[in-house]
Amino acid sequence: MAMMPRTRAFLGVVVAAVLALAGTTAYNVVESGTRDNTVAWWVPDWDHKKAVELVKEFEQQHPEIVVDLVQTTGDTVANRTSVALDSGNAPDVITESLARVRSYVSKGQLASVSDLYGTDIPTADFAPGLIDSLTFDGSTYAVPYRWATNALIYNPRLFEAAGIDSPPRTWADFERDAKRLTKGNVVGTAWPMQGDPNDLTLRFLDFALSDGTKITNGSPRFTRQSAEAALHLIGGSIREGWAGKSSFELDNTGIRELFLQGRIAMYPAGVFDVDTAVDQGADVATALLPGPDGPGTAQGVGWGYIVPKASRHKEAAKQLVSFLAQPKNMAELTVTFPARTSASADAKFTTPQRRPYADQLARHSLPAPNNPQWTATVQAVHDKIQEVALGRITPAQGAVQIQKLAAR
Amino acid sequence: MRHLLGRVSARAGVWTTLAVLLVWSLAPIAVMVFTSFKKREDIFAVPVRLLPSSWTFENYSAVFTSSSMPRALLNSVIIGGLVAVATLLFCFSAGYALARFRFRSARPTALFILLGQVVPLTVVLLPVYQIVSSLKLLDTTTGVAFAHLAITVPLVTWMVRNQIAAIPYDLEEAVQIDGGSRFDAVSYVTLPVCAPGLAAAGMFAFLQSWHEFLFASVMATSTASRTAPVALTQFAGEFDVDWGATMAASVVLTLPIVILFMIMQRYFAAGLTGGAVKG
Repeated sequence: MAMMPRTRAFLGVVVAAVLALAGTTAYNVVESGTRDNTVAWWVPDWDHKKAVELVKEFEQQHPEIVVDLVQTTGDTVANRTSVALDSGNAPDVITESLARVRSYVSKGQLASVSDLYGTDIPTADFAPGLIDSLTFDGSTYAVPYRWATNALIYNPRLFEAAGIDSPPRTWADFERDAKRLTKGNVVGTAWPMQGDPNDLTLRFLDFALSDGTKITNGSPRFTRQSAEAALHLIGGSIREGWAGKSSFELDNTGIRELFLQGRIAMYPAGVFDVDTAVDQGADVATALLPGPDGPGTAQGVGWGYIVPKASRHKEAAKQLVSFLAQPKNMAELTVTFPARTSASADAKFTTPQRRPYADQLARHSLPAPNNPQWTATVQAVHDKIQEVALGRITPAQGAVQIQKLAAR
Repeated sequence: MRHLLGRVSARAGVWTTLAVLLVWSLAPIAVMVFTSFKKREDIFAVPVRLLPSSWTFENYSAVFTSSSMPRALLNSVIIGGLVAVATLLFCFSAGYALARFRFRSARPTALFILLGQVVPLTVVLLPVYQIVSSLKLLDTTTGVAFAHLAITVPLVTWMVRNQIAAIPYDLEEAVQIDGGSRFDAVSYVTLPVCAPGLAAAGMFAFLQSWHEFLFASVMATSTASRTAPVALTQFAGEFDVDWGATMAASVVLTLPIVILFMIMQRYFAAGLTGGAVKG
């Protein structure tokens, strides 16, 4: 029986669609089969431009290896990496947050990179405790390349106007100075209660670590007194008015913008904020983070290179990581601080505003907790800090509840 | 007089409620649009202002000249189009079979398909990733479209099934009595009659694909297949968020959908209600 024209067209469209899908699949299968010498490297947006230059140099030095640079975004890399590692179909090198390495290692998803450390990449050249925090059962699973911490950023003009001649060194100084600075449309300090919950929790934990909290197996072990003191500093400061009530609406970007407008006198933050302030010609100076009775402790956070166990080109991947871990290349890819001390000599890391950060990193910092159980409680801890700031619970009650959360 | 006053106050109450709902719905959109025209310092000005103190197109310029958004928009259009076409092809076939053929497991099969709609996306993320990966379609527009089918197919199959079930089978029989095949009956009777419903289903599939984030963020690893919602995240850097550019990109992302909906809303409403009384 002859087919009518419209029926022919309808069936033609269906057959064409099926053939197109089958053809695309076949093409991709053939195409991927011809890439035996290609190392796939997932790199976040912010490193992509420099990474292109470094890859060009690497390929010149290693003509037998081709690098397929895949540009990801910082917001999506965690989920994407997790799914890729779970599926067993992963790239060869991933630029990842060091805070997530322990989680991948616990699932047996990463290849050891211990063999990369030695004469060329000595472990002693890295920030204190950094390599230890990435070593499990004697094997190291990442090569860090950037490392950063918080220090105190302040506005020297506002300090001078308030009759304060030096930045605070202790918590008592911090509170006294903030109260003196809070006048008119200026507040002494502010906290990032909006945005990523890690931002607020990181500051809370910096204070707690300065006062006796320890990190064991990647998890904080709070003392009641240190947690309560940290909650008083953050939540109490808002209740008492020497930190801005607008903290409830601010993320890191918001706090920085208000600092640049001269509405916030000081706040703990990373070196990126300092660079922005310097670029804009704002009044800015930096100091060590205050502690209970001297410089406080800050957590080091950073990024590194991991090689998935499922990588099909491990040796070539390790050659790439080894190349990227050279001090010169590390310095190229870093906007905060390089993980290796020998890479810190570059002039961009030794500006007057950066010196307190370098000092904080070298003498008053330790790697941030990276246990997945702690990571899973960050939102709940953040909420407790907010409850203290809102006056729903006291710092003492909040400390007890946070201790329980961390001990789960 | 009292009756008149009662009617006036009732109407005033209705209008007031509608006005409040209108402001409630449009306020976030207004903030998005006006923020996209603000300079950086204006966005964080104290006290907060809705309108920019000086209007700028810098944010739009950033979106179109120094981000992957133009490519991502093109990818979104391609993926959305592929998803709409593939959804209609698959779902029309499945919907027709479920509506017209009587077989023992018809009902369980239909319910099983709908199950796909109630399972959280995160649960099916890994299996879908593995399928796309084994087809070597990762980081391709085809791969992202394939993943999106997992979202659109279950509901659209049901939508189309109900559309077809509402069309009397007698019409198809008439074609076959006149010497046509079942395929002819479908092409000449069923397809034209349920065209508004299919247009609505296609648009629904396109919209689902257009704003989907989770699958696209995992399946599309690079700018080659990155969709617009994923490209939005590039304005949130490691240390700060470019709110002006984020809002400008959000406007750019929203506008095509608003225009498309305005053009096709007649079909959309008719298509969604078609078959509602028989199924």
